[in-house]
Amino acid sequence: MSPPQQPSSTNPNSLKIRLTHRFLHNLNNLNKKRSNLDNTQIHQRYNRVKLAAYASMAHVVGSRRAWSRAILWKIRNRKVSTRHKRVDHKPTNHHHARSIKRRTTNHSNPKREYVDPNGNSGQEVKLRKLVPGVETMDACGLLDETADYIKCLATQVEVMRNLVDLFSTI
Amino acid sequence: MVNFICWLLVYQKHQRKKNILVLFVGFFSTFLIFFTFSQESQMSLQDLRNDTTSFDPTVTHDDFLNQLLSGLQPTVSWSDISAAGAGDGQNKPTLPWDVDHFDDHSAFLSSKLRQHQITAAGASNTLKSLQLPRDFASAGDTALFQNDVIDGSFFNGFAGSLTSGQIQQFRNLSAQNFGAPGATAVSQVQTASATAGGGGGGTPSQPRQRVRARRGQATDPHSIAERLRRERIAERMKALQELVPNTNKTDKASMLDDIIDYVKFLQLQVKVLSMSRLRGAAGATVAAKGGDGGGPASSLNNDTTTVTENQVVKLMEEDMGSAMQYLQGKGLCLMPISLATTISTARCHPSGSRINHPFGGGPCSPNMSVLTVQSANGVCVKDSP
Repeated sequence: MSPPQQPSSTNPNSLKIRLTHRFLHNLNNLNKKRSNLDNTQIHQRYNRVKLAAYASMAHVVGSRRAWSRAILWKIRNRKVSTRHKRVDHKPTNHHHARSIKRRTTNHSNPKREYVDPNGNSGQEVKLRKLVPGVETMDACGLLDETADYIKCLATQVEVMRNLVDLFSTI
Repeated sequence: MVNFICWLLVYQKHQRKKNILVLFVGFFSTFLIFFTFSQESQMSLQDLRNDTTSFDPTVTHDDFLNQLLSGLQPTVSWSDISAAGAGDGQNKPTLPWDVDHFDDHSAFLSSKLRQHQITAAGASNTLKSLQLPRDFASAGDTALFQNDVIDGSFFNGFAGSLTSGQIQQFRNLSAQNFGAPGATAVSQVQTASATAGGGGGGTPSQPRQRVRARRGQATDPHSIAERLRRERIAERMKALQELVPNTNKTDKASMLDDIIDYVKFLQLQVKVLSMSRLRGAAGATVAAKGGDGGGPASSLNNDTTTVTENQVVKLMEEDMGSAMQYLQGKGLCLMPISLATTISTARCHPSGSRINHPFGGGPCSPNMSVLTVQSANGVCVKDSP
C-alpha cells in the first residue's frame, strides 16, 4: 500500500488529521486481515495494534525522516520474515553498530558519566536506543530527529486517546 | 631617634591623647626651635651634614639627644601639667623606653644621615624615616630637620628611590602612619609606587603569555566550525525544550534527561492506548493491568459502562442535576450529540460506519438503546476532557 503523498507541512492539525486517517485505515486493515476477537490472543492483537500505530505514524511522515524510514524498514522486514520465515540481511549495519557499542563497555568509570568510544555521553546513547534510525547520526541530527519523533509520537498518542474516548463512551 | 619620635607621636595620637600630643608637640617644637636656632644645634646639624668624623655627629647628636632628653624629662612633670587634659599614665611607662630607644636610634640615625649625604639616592630607609618626620614636621616639628635645606635633597633622593624595589618597605612604614598629617603625601607616594609597580608588573607578563582571543571572536577555522556546531545544537535543544512539556531546566544534561523520559513516556502511552483500544472501553487502568488481566476485565468493563449508562438514564429521568453529579463523580460529562458527531466527523472521516463497529454483538443493543434514549433528550455521554 503506497502512502498518500501529502504536502510536506508538519502543521500539528494537518498532521493530526493525516495520522487519524492513516491510523484508522491501518486498523481497518488489521481487523479485516485477522478478525479474531477472542481473548486468548489479546497480546497478539495488542501487538498488532501497536504496530499499526507506529506504521501509521511512519507512513504519514513518509521517508523524510530517518526514524520513519527505520520504522518502515523494520515493518517490511517483519512482514518478510513472517511470510517467508527468513531473516533479512539488510539491517546488519544497524545491528552491527549496536552490538559493537554494547561490547565496548567502559569499566574504568562505573559511576561517572558513561562515555562512548565515539565520545558520546551516556544520555546520547540512551536517546539513540529510544529513537529508531539514529544510530549513526551526529549529535545535531540526533536532536533534530528526536524533536520530530517526539512531535509525531505526541500527535499519535492524542489521536489514539481521542479514538479510545470516542469509542468507549458511545 | 627621629623615627621613634614620629612613632611616639603616632602612638600618642592613637591613644587619643590629643591634648598631651599637642602639648608635647608644642613643647618639643619650642625646644627644637630653640635648639636649632642656637649655635649648638646648628653646629650639630652642620656636623651631621658635613660628616667630618664618624664619631662627632654621634657626640653632637648625643648632646642634642641629651638636650632633648632634658626637654623630655620634664614630660614627667609635664604629664602632671597636662594631667588635666587626660590620663597621664601614658607618658611615664613610655619614657624609659624612649630613652633607651633614643640611644639606640641616635647612632642609627646618624649613620643613616651620613649615608644619605654621601649618596643622593641613599638607603630608602633613611629617606623613609626622614620622610615621615618631614610629614610630622608639617604638624609642628618644622625646625627639627630644616626642611628647606634638606627637603630638596630628600625629594631627589626619594624620587630616585622610587624606582628601586624598596616600595614594600615604604609601604610597611607608611602603614604605621595612622593619622599622619602627611598621609596625603604618603598616599600620593603609594599610588605612584603602585602604578609604577603595576606598570612594572604588567610589562614583564605580556611577553610571557600569548595573546588569547576574546570570547566569540576566534579566527581559527576549527573553532569557528565548533562554534557553529554548538550553536546548531543549542537551537535544536531549544526547539526540543518547547516540545517537552513542563520543563524549565537550563542545564543541557538535565534537559537531555527530560527528553529521554518524555520519549519513554510517549512510547509507553502508545502501548497502553493500543491495549485499551482492544477493549473498546476507556481506562488506562484496565490496560495497565496487562494482557492477561484484560480478558476477564474486558467484559466487566463493558458491563460497567452499560451499567453506568443505564444508571445515568435512570437518573436523568428523575432529575438532571443528580444525573450530572453522578456523571461528574465518574469523571464524565454530558454533551450534545451534535457536538460529538461533529467532533467525530472532524477527526475521522468515515465516522458513521466506525462508531458502531466496535460494538458488534451483545453489548451493542443496550448501548444503542441508551443512545436512542439519550438522543431523545439530545445529549450523550462523553468523557470529560
